Amino acid sequence: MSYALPKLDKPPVVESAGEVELARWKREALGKLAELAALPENWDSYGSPAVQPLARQRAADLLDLLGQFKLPAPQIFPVPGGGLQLEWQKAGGGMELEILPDGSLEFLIEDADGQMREGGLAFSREDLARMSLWFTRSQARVVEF
Amino acid sequence: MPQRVDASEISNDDALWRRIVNHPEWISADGLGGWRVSSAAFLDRRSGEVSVHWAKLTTQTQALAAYPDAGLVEILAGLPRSLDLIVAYDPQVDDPSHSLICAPGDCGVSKSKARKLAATARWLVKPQNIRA
Repeated sequence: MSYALPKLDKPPVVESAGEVELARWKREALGKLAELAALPENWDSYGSPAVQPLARQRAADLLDLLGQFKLPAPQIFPVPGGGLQLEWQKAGGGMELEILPDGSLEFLIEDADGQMREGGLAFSREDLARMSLWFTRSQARVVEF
Repeated sequence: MPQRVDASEISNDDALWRRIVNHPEWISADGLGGWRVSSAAFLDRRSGEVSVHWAKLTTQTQALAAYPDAGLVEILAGLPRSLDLIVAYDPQVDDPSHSLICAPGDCGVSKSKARKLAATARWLVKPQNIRA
């Protein structure tokens, strides 16, 4: 008796648990972006304009890039004025990436001692990799950034 | 943007209230069984000025009248001042308690100051989706 092997159009894709998790949080994050982009004006009850299309596009690009750096899923919040903010929290600290209405980026990091650093950020793989590396290190101090 | 002046009639011990909308959520679990407010709630990239209510001139019911599902957090006026921010009184026809937290000049509230304001804010009323 002979058995025919199943014919595959494409080689099977074997995804690691980490890849599956990444795909899941990216899918959820993009869904959240779509939800926030649909907010009407005055969504904050203080007269904010809607999330600006440029900020949404930039946030989507950012998620794509950040997916390469083994970060946990971000929390995504709208910012009054038409921007968006990605946040990550860990014991005693955190990291924020804000996409302003004009698409530019600002960052903030806080360590377990409550020390903070903030500033403008280029949309570059190197800068985002450096931030991601800082955040994923345990006990990272702001002075080491 | 008009030049804002710190309101001497608002004392450092006076409470300022900020609404926290129910949708979209501005909150996340703090890992200790509570809820933290995002610093995004204390930013405004349009005007650079963060609207608050001077609690002395309103009530929780009035502050939430048009937004019954929203929450309300409280900080004391001395906190933004300790961060070199201004607390300006800016009464409106429909809200005599309206006040503003803003930075001197036109630079707006920075991310680190917004984070400190959010971290210190105390819940008075939680948004509908996390009310017990």
